[in-house]
Amino acid sequence: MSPEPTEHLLVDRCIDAMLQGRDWHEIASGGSAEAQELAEVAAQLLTVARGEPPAGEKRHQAIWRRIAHLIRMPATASARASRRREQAASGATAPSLNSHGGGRPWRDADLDLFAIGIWQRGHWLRGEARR
Amino acid sequence: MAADLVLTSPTVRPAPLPGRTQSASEECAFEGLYRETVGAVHRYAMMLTRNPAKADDVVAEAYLRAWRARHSLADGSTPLAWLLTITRHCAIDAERKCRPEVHMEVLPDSADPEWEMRSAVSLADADVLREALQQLTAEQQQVILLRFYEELPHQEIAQRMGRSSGAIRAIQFRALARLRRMLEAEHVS
Repeated sequence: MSPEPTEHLLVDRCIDAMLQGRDWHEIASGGSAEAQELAEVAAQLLTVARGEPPAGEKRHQAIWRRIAHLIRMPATASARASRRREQAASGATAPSLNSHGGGRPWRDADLDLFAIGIWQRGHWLRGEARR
Repeated sequence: MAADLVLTSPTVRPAPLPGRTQSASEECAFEGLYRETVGAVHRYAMMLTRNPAKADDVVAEAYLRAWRARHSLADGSTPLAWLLTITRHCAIDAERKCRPEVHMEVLPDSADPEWEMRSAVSLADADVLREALQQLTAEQQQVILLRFYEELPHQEIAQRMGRSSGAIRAIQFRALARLRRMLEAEHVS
């Protein structure tokens, strides 16, 4: 076996020892200076890796929901569906407001103003409460 | 084909439900593939982006691209290696798209005394190492990811990447040598 693969094997054995929580210094001491230095880098790398816990199951599930939503929807329909959802949100509110009758029918712009009014009212009430 | 390959794994084999369309069973198999691989893919995205929100976006985009290109995965290819390559491309694209910004450091909670005690590496060196990981080649990054972050034995990495154990050890050796050079250069500067 050529010298280079022997060094590869030695460093790999050191990494195996690190992963199993065994002392790797003794294994490394049988190799060249380079192998010992690389084992040292490997030990630092393992410390860094173990300092970064993997993302939890909840995060993976949340990402899967995003993916599943997108793969069920043809790419071209995705943007249209997003617009439809926005329209549906305002479309569901406007007819209910219109059903109360009186004056001209509510439009999207009216709903925006209505929302701003509610927000301002809430802001004013919070200010009053603080006083 | 990707769907065929996915179905070779017992944990991701979808039960053929009556009345389900082919695409539904493909989707089920794809979800199985996702569950098996997302841990490594997500950590790889984190390694490349060093930003949790961006990593989530990269993972979602990578699987979406994988789904769209599932029929292009050749027979005998390993799905994990294929997914990691797609993830790398997505991370590069995401980096190109976004404006320059300060990276959020993915550091452990400094209040965690256990980590501080365990740590044989200074926070500055840890940061240099994370930065250096991004400079490695794709296959070096993937071997480092599976060996040090996923803590897999080299035989399993070889199997998952469709390479020999010797090749994995050689890639690992070259990656560590490159990291050492980068650490030394950083210390000199």
